Formats: sequence, structure tokens, C-alpha cells
Amino acid sequence: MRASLRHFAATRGARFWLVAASGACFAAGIADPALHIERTVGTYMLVFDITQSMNTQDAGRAGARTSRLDFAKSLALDALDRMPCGTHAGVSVFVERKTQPLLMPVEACAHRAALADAISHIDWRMAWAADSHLYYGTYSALNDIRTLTPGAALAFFTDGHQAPALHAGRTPAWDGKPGDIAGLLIGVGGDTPEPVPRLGDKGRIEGYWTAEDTAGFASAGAPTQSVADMERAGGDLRNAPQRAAGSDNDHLSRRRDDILEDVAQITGLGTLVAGTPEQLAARLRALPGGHLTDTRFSLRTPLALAGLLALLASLVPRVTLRRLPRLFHFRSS
Amino acid sequence: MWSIDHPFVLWALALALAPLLWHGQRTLPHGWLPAVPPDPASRVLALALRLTGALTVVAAVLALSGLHRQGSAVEHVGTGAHIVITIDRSASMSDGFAGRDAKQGDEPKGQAAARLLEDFVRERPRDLFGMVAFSTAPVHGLSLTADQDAVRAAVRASAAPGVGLTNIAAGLTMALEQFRDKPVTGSRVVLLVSDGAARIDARAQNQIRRLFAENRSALYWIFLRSAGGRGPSDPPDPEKGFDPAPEYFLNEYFLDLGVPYRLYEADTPDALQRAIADVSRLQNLPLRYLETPPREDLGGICLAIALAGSLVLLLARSLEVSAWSR
Repeated sequence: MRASLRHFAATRGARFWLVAASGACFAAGIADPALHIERTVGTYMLVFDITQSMNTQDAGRAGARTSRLDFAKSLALDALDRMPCGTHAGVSVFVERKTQPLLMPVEACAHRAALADAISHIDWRMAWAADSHLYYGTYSALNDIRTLTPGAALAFFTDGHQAPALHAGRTPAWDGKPGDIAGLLIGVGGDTPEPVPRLGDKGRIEGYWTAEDTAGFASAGAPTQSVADMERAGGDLRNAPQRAAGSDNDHLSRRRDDILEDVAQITGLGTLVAGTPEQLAARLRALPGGHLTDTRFSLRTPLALAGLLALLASLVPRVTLRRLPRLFHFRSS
Repeated sequence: MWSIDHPFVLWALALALAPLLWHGQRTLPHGWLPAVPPDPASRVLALALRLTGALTVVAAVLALSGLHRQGSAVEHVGTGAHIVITIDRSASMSDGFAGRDAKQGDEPKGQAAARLLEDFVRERPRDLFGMVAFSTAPVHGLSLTADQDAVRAAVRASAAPGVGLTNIAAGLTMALEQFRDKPVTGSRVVLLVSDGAARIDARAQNQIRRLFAENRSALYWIFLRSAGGRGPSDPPDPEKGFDPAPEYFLNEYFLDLGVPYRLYEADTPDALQRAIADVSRLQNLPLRYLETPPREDLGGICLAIALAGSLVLLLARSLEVSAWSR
């Protein structure tokens, strides 16, 4: 009996074994075995700057410019779609000096619809004030994470535009420890100064902010100077407008990498110029922190594929197989 | 309903032609084929084997494409409601309650409200919830959804210290807009939680009145009384000179809306809990809701067909002869 089995096995060609292998693959696939892979996934607080400079239409591809805010919103969602399930994300908005969380972190696959709903409804009209003190805003975002969602990382979508501008040397101080909370400042917007639109209630552009508008806004006071200082600076400056140097063009807005770098320096966050969702997802995943999650990787698809290929291989006519080596044969002269 | 996860994989169905073109069987040389008598049974067998091969390939490709059956949503009738939680996030929500035993360091109103509302949401698994917050401007949290975890996450988010003023009109308008173009499949409630009121101008008054009528929504106002503050049931005191008493007039306006309306005044977390429990009891009206049955994966069945096909082919291979017998 044994001998006859051995004889049977020995006389079967490669094709028999290929069909047998394909059957074995299909059978294993029915059982649906799976690999359990432990992966580190993060929790992210997505903070959107909704000040009016974010309405500037200079983000996205040339020819299809959208507002910085719209671009940031779709970038955030697309990046989430490219991150593994188990990733958690929360949503928050920033205006004036503070952030207001809208949604605490939820799992990004199971609650994708809710995240998309919350993110897509973010609107500049949610703003409770019009100023944009980015330093304070970042501190507020980090403070929210420390008190409400410890362990989360920050993803702050902003153009870096400060309104009103700060006087040199008057950077708001931060009492946290740099690098305690990981995160990214994601710069959106273009490199050239663009006018900031004034939108009406229905979201239509009704005009643009002018230099006169912005000159009329309150600004942080200039440092007090003594008479001697003023004389040295050339004349009586008491009644001169108290605006930060270089803020004459504050009605125009561009992505302020210099400010973002400065905020990042103070807080230990990273910076990134917004680009593709893949790039953002990769940078977010590279942030420290996160928790381990067990991802089930089903082997059914690879097994079905292997079975199919084995079956097809068993069909290839012998003639074709015999001719194959010739394709790779180089004639020697 | 049958559907497929990766439709592009179906291009691989063309591979089913391979078994029809290539039989994959062992061939033996024969001296003179015309001498072999015609054998219809063999021809049928050859064709059957080719078709079996094709069927196996098709089954395997369908398994790869993620074929599954998704039942359509089934309507159930239960009890519950569609509730838009409309919560005040003005700066004063970070202050404590008014109650008699109130002291420094008590739970802020906003946090107490968020905690109790979260329990409220948890206890009502069949309700749809929406979330709107308002301070100076209305803030859309979530559209009406059955995603309880997300609703609770949005409620929790509202516990963060607030900013700005109490713009009740804008909050109510946004809350009522949530019902727009949605089928009326259950009772509708705007659950307004605030610690103050503001005068609503005549235009906004008319708009809100119209929206309430159009959307057939009830209104529950849970008023969180601040320490030293007054409530909707305190009429203005003419002795004290000019007294706008916005809470009182807002309550009068709500009473006049012509929709089911109830006011709860809470000056302690316990009172707030009782108010929420009462809303919970009132809102157990019949509710139609859709439940989508879980998806039924057909990959296993496809692979079983592929396995059967490959076993038939294997049998055929094992019966092949290695030489002409004499």
C-alpha cells in the first residue's frame, strides 16, 4: 500500500502538485486565518485656525485654489483616511487666544462619518472674536491636551498670520516644558502676500480687508520709552501710531513660516508646510507617543491569490514552458 | 443586495478564459490520430473539466474582490426621540451653581452639565442626537446621528472652559436647522442647556417661531442658575428701576411659541439630574428607526466553490495515465 502511494506521488508531475496546492490554499482560506500585528497608533487633536486670514484663497493646486481653511479641512480628513484603524482623532477650533474643542478624540475608522461631519462644518463664522494671537492659541491647544486628552498629539492647521502683529521682543511667554506634548504646526497658504477677503453672512466675498481697516485695530502697546530714548530714536514718538514695525501690510496675508518656526521653537512642536495627505499622515505617525493596538490582518486574500496563481500555473501548456528558457537565452558569438 | 469591495479586481475575471484555452492535461503522443474512433463522452468530459477550471478561477476572483451581501435597512418601531442638544458655552458656564450649599471649588456648571448629559445619552441608545454649542456664535458639533460614542465625545468636549457671550437665538436657529430635510420619524426635541439668556430681536423671534412650527420640534430649556443670578421665573422688579430680566422675557417668549415647551431651573447638579431624568421620561414616544443588518461576507462561500472546483481538477489529474497501456 505504502509502496503504491509512493509510486503514485513519484509519477505525478508538477501540474498535479500545483492543483493540489491551489486546493490547499482555498481550503485554508475558508478557515480565514489571520495574523495579529501590534501597531502603534496615535491620538491626535486636530485644531483648525478659523480666523479670517484662513479665508484667503491661495491654497491647493494652481488652477484649483481654495481657501486655506477648506484646504486644511480636506487635508486633515484625507490624512486620517491614510492612517491605520485604531487611530483616534478629536476636533477643535482656534480664534483669538483660545481653542474650543468640538469633539473629543474618537476612533477614526468606526466614527469616520462623525469626524467628517464635524470637520466639514467648521466655518469661520464659528469665531467668537476676530483677533489671531497664534502664540496664545498654541498654548491653549497644548493646555487643552494636557487637561482634557493627555497622551494626544497636536495637529494645528494654521497660516501663522498674527493679527494684530506683535512688537519685537514681546513674544508671549509659555510656562510649559518644550516637547512635553508632541505635535505639528501645519502651515497652510501661499508664499506671496494675498488680500484677505471679507465674507458676508452667506459666505460670498464682499470685499477685501484694506490697510486702513487693519490700521484701525487695537494692537498690543509698544514698549514704553523714556524721553531720552525717544530723542535718540529721532523726535517725539508719543503720538506716533503704536504698531509693530513691519506691520504696514497686515491686511495682506501669506503663510508665515517664520512665526510657525518661532512658536515651534518655544513649544517643542514640529513644523510642516501642508502638502499631500500622505506626507501629513507619515509625519503624524512619526510623532512620539501613541498606544499599541492589535490589528487583525486577514490572510484570506493572500491565500485566495496564491490558490488562483497555482491553479493558473498548472494550466500553462508544457510547450510554452519549454520555450520559456529561450527567451532568456543569449546567443554567444 | 450584493456588492463588492474592490470592483477593479473583477478585471481578473478575464483569467477565466485561461482554462478554456489551456486544458492543462497531460498529453501523450499517438501515432495516428485519425485511427482513434470519435468518443463523445471524452469530449463532454474535456469540456466539463475546462468549465470547472473556469468556474474555479471565477470563484477565486470573486473571493478576492470582497463579494458580500448587505441587507437593506429594516425599519423598527421603538421608543425614543431625535434630540438636538443645544449647549451654552459662554464664559459663565465655568462658574459654579447657585444652590444654597454652593462654595468655591465646586464643579463648574459646564462640567456638571456635560457629565449628566453624557449619562443621558448613554441611557438612550435608540435616540438620534445632534449637538450644537453656542457662545457669541453658534458652533456646529454633530448632525443628528446614531453614533453614540461620537455624541458623547462631542458632549464631553463642551465641558472645556467656554468663551464669549450667550447668543441664544443663533444657537436655537442652528439647532432647528438640524431637522431640515430630515424625515419626521420620531418626536423632535431641542434640549437647550444654558445659564443665561439674551434678548432675541424681533426678526430672530419670528424666524425661530417659524422654524419651530415647520420642524414640529418641542423645546426643553434647562436653566442653570448662577450664584447671585436670577432665573426665568423671577419677573422684573419695577421698584429697582430699569431691569431687562432677559431670562424672564425669554421664558415668556418660549411659552408663546405654540410648541410643547417645558422649563427646568436647576441650581444644583442634583436638580439638573432630576430635570434630565424628567426629559428622559417625557420623550419615550414611538420612534421609527432604521437598523442595518450586519454585512454577510460571501468570501468563504466563493472559496468553498473554488475548493470544490480544484478538487475535481485534482481528481482528473490523479486519474491521468502516464503512458498508453497495452
